[in-house]
Amino acid sequence: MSSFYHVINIVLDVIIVYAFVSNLNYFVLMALGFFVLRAQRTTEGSVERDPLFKSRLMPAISIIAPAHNEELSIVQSTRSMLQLEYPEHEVIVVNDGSDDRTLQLLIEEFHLYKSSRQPLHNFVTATVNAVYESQNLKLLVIDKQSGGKSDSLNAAINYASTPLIAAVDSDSLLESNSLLLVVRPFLEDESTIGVGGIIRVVNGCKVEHGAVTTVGAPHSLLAKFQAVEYLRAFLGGRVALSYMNSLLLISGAFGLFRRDSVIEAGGFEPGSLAEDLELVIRLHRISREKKRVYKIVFVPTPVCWTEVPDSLKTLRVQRKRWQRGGVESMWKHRGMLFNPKFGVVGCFGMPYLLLLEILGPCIEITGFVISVVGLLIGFISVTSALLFFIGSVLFGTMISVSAVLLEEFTTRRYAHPLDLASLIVAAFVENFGYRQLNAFWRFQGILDVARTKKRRVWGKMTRRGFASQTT
Amino acid sequence: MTKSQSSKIRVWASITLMVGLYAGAVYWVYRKSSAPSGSIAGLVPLATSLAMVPLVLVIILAILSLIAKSIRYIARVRSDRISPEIREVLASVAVGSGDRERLRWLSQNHRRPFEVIFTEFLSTFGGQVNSELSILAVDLGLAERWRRATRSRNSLVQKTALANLGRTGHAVDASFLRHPLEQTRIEAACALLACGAADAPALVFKMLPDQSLLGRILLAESLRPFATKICEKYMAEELRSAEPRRAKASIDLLRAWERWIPIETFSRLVAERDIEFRVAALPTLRYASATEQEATQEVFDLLEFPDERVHATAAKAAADMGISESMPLLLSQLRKEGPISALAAAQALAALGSAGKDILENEIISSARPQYALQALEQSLVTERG
Repeated sequence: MSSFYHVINIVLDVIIVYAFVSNLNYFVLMALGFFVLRAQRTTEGSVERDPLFKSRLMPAISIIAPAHNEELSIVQSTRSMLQLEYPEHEVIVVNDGSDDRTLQLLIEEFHLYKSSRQPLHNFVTATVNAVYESQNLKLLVIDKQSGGKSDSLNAAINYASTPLIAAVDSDSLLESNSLLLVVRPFLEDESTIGVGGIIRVVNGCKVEHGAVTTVGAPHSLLAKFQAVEYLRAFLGGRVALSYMNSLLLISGAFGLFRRDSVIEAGGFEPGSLAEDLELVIRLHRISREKKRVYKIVFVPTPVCWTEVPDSLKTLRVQRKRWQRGGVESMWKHRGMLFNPKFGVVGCFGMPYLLLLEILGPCIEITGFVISVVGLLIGFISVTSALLFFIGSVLFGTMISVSAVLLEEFTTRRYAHPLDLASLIVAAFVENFGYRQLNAFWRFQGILDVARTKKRRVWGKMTRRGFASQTT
Repeated sequence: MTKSQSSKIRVWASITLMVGLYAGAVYWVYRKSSAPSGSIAGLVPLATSLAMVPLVLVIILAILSLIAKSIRYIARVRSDRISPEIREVLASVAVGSGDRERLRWLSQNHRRPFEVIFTEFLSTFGGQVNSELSILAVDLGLAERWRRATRSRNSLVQKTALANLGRTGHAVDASFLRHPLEQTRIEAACALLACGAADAPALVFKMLPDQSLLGRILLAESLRPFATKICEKYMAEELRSAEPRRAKASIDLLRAWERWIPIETFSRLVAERDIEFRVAALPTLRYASATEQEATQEVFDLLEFPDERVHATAAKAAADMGISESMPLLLSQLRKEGPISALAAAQALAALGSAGKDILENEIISSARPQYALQALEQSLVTERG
């Protein structure tokens, strides 16, 4: 029995040390993010939109947007993509075997005709039924049989002819100047191969004619928690990781890539549940293996607005899918872990992903279980358990409130003081239940990897559509 | 040491200092609050202290931020209220009929919204209104304030000041063209060009090769009014330069301007360079070549170049320049080459008029791979129908 207690003791010690190190790490990344954001803010240009908008030197962009059963938002989001401020861009929407009226709505709304446009590349994808084009707008719609998100993205790349491709979720809204902002790192440094913009929560904002006109904090508590989570992930983690050129994730909702690099890497991985993460890791891998000078960057100013789930059921499915995708990508590229050949990506980026993002939920759940069992059998004193809980809540609160403050110190998109106050409150409250629940879902996602076979599925999400978003 | 290196060192030094202070504070709280324990589990109080110190700091910051946000909010509401009046008075003074005293009062009592609206007016209006605004900038003390702000350590303030000085035609110090931050250099260059300094076009043109593509794009627009002078005096020398980046910057400039300004021996100067440069220069041939014959020869050379990757751009140039003699080469390209090159050839043929379209129609009927001809013809028809 004593050896059992000894083992439990060691596990507890590991969990406590893990909690220390991970929280300290988050805090340092947050601090680094603050300095980097501040420095970026002062180096931005002040009067450059017009010359950029007019210039013939701007590289053309293809926006590729896969859509599956998006009848609620597809027309508005496509219109918003077409109206983006950029000298030369085309929109390629891929209808991936939708059962609803997605394709019909696009054909009717944009007066599309059946086109004989041919693919320029040869990624293998599910069968393309037909290609439609608009007479007056730079819009191409590919109607294909269902093959999943990666398959749709690859189908779009096959038809893209521009040097840059922007992968965008068709259920998201890009701000009108987002392409002009996201392209900047490509213009500043020719070695840039990928750039990610920030994803923000549209719930609570006012949307008119496909554009966010008033920014507000979400009304529901669940959406508020997610708004805080997004700020923490983007402004804290990704800014700092990008600064160290070890950014491993450019969100699938909005990322700009050099087309040749994506083609060289073999496109998006078919069947992957985290095709965005997997592609970026692969781009790192190839560039490092070929000893190229390259950059993969995150920029916090080009904003993509996305609707987050406002039901626990949908959120659970989403988080399980993300976690499962993360584990699969990590497993596929495990050879890069702690491998000095891959520089800072192998020695910091990948271990960070493994220890904090992938294994984090396992350790958290183990900690909870041991604490509860230890309390019940009297192995752990009430004081110790309480202190551990208070410690983790304090850490969590500190990091989440810091993320909200980081937004306030830098990008400052929420205009009303009440929005800021409500997010600060949410940053505190999320530690009582939401974070634990989230850890549990992510833990389930890890278990799913072992339990189920790989499937090419779309994450099902119940949406209200942008028309219903108001302040 | 470069600016970016020193900036990185500053960032890491700040972080190290902060973590050091944090660790010191934690240790102090820990010593005060609990006794050391033999087991790691005894570190739980340390964990609490670890979180407590920054949490207190974060809460203080949160309260301060909320107060600051509320103050800013009230200021914005006030500014929204006064803005229409500022606009109205400024507009009437700028056209010579307004109340100058009222404007002065507004500029002194609502400095921030006034400056924002004033800058907005400057970038919107030209001609007589702009001249009047420039006089007002001096009269209301704005120009002096901006001049002082050019010495600010905050580069955002510095850049805005430089831009404003440029818009009002006030001279800026040419030494800003050597500023370590590219954005500041660009603002200074635009300001110098706008204020009409005689040597500004030459100075700015010479700094082009050292800027990123973003910098070149921004400067190309500001240099546009001086295009003829630059092409006549400096362009040929830059194209002859042994440094590829200097020649490349000149080509970028010509591509951005897209203006018909012949440069003597342009095609020959281009043809002497490497293939990457020649491809980049293709779109400029029709604007910058001294004779059509020279330009046509260069396009033919590139259509016959052994590397297929060059052909798509060459085909587009052939179409843009209307070189109907290139049709046999384009047809061969359409039949034999990969999708990108074949499609470019088909599109070029479609753009070359009825003879080109006849070739495409023939290909649709007789060729083993008619798809590119079909696509090009269809696109051409859609364009014609508008």
